[in-house]
Amino acid sequence: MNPPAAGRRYVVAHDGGERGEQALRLGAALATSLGAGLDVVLVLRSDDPFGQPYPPVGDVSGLVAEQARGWLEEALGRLPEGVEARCHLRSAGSVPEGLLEAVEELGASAVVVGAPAGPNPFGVGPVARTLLHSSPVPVVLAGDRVPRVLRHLYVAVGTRPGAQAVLAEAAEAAERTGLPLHVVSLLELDARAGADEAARERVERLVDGTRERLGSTRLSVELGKGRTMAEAVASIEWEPDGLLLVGSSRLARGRQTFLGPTAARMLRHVPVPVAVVPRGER
Amino acid sequence: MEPAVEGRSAKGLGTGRVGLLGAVVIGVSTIAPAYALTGTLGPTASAVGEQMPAIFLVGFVPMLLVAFGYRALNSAMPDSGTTFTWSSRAFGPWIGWMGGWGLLAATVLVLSNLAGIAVDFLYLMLAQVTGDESVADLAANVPVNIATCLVFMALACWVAYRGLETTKAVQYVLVGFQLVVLVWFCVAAFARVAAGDAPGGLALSAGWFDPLAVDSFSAFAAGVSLSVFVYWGWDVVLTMNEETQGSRTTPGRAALATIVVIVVLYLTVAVAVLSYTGTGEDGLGLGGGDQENVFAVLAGPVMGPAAVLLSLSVLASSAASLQSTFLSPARTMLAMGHYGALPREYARVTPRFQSPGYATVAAGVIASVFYVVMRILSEDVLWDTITALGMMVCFYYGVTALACVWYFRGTWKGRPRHFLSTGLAPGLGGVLLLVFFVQTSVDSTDPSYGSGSQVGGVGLVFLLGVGVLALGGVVMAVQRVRRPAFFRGETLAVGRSSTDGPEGADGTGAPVGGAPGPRTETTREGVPE
Repeated sequence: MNPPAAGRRYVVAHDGGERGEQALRLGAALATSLGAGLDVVLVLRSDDPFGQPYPPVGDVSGLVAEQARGWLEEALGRLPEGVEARCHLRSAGSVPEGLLEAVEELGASAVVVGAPAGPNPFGVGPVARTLLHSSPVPVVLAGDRVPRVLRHLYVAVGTRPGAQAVLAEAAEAAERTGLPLHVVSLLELDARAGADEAARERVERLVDGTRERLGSTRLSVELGKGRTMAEAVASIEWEPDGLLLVGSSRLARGRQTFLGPTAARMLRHVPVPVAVVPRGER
Repeated sequence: MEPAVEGRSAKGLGTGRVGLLGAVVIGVSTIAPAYALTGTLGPTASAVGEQMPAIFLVGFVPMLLVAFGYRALNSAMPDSGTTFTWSSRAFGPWIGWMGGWGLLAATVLVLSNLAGIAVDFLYLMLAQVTGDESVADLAANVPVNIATCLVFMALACWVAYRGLETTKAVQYVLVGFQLVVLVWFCVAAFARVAAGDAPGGLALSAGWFDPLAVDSFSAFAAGVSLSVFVYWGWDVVLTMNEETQGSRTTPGRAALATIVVIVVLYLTVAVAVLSYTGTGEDGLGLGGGDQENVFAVLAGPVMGPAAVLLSLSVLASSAASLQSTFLSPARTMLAMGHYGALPREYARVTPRFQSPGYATVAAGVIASVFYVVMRILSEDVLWDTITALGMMVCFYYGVTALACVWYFRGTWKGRPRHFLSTGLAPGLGGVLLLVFFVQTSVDSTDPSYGSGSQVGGVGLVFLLGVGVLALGGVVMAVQRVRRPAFFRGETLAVGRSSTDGPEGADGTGAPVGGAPGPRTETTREGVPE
């Protein structure tokens, strides 16, 4: 099978379990809607030699790898017709480490990872959290609700740096796919937080520029109203078959600490999957 | 589509290269010295008396011999099932099944012993911290003891289920702390002997190092069975070859350095305890029944206020070992489930944690039930489990060593070194271990054997050792009826190493289902001959 003309590929983090299942379903939706190929990657954790058990034990990696191969084959079999996909079994010290190595080696343009609502209200799971703090490509978080096909793109913008990058990414995706783009403006939220007038005008100009690029029928602006991120996000009427793009620096003051909880909160409140686009993109 | 494993190392171990010091730390950690010593010194001294240091020297020999066999089998057939898989390949399903059962029994025994030791030291440490002596007595209260033990078991099982591992830093701290505290203990004991305020106060004698001075072969066999247990796990140092950094000399040096550290440490502690307490049955003497947990009794008198450090060190050592010990039965049950020797559920790997979840929980449940029954049956449960454990390790290490000889037979012509490491050494070691096993089994029918616990006129140690093996035979017969494929050799065929290479590179050497995974590929390039 030849890769699609655009040559875009997404790494889908599969683990053989529930999280992997969610990532796989979202990966299939992205592949169908955005015309990309999938690399389904399952990372086997290798033992730390310093974790030597007492008394001595056998090497379990052969049997685990065999079962993991089965999970991967099953996963490929479940993907819808027409999705071009390959699968890879990799070995690394940790799952995020292996995923990022795969992203680099395969030249993937995004990594899709399951992040189900767990018992921890601010958690997205250790794998997703580590990826959010270190991935050089967008991280797409598959929550509990995953659309079958994408028909709408959302992009969240505010006054903090990074709006330009994520808007450009979103506009490019909208152009490529022909999907309508909804700009979710969080300017009101920023104004409450004391963002200055000039910064807000700059963002408005950016949005206008994007509107010219796409045409006003394909771009709409929706205002997030409320005192908190949760309220602002809840005030918007989301199409269930959408995908929200978020710039990581836009939301994260100190990117290391803010990103995980914010992404998790958005995941909780936004009824669509979230793609977190790193600051440095473009 | 069959995806091949990609990635940096593409095999089980090997995320971090290990240097010489690291290899020694790993080697020492795999024998859990503080834990092993506290449980073994009393029973060993009561078996062989003043010749305890000699027995610790002698006991190392069969372990060293067998370790060569382990290394050869491990590079020829890396597999989750170790003894089970190897002896099935060499001797066929029946002996293989019993070998696997021996390993399971030994690990379940050690789980219950570890948990029991951890409980003792938890309350001892609490007593030392609070200064309230009565807290330490809680460990002797059967319901409290059982409840605490089950909590420990559940925690350790959970950690193993989640696939969490101790890391490099933790391992360095644990091993360093154990060594420092044990040396401190020895120095303090010698100082008290020199000052004349030790209850035993024996002067060091050359006769302590003379194994021939042991009264009888029975006593000798019992002592060696126990010292086999204290060296249990040491063979990992030899199989770590591929992990070690840089040159070809590092693994050899690491193994040698670990041997020196362990043997010197054991001898020093044995001599220190012996000269401090003597071997009498009264008071603190090593022959008395109170000595099933030596450091718990001696810490206070020898180290004074610093005794809390010893308690902490043994508690940390046994708690850390407790969680890693769950891996051993779980991985063997995983392999047995995989090859159809046990129900299919045992082969289930939990996707999220990549650990044998079902088998881990099963091991936890069996070990807990076993501990509860033992605690109720025996007053000296630690003593009896340690003694039975030594027997069980002799049994399954013996079977494994002979499996090595049988598997590699016919590959020795014109290769004297290969013959030494896969034929003569494991053969001799295996025969020795099985002789000690048989002798100890026969002796342990005596109701006064070990701690003197008995059921219906038969020693509890015999019931634990031989009885559990016989139970294995029954379970095996049931499995034979339910799952005949394994017993017909359909899932794990009998085979032998081919003459043109000891690594089984022609394909006949690799187990049928499991091993052609990530590990095999690297092994083929990386095994030094």
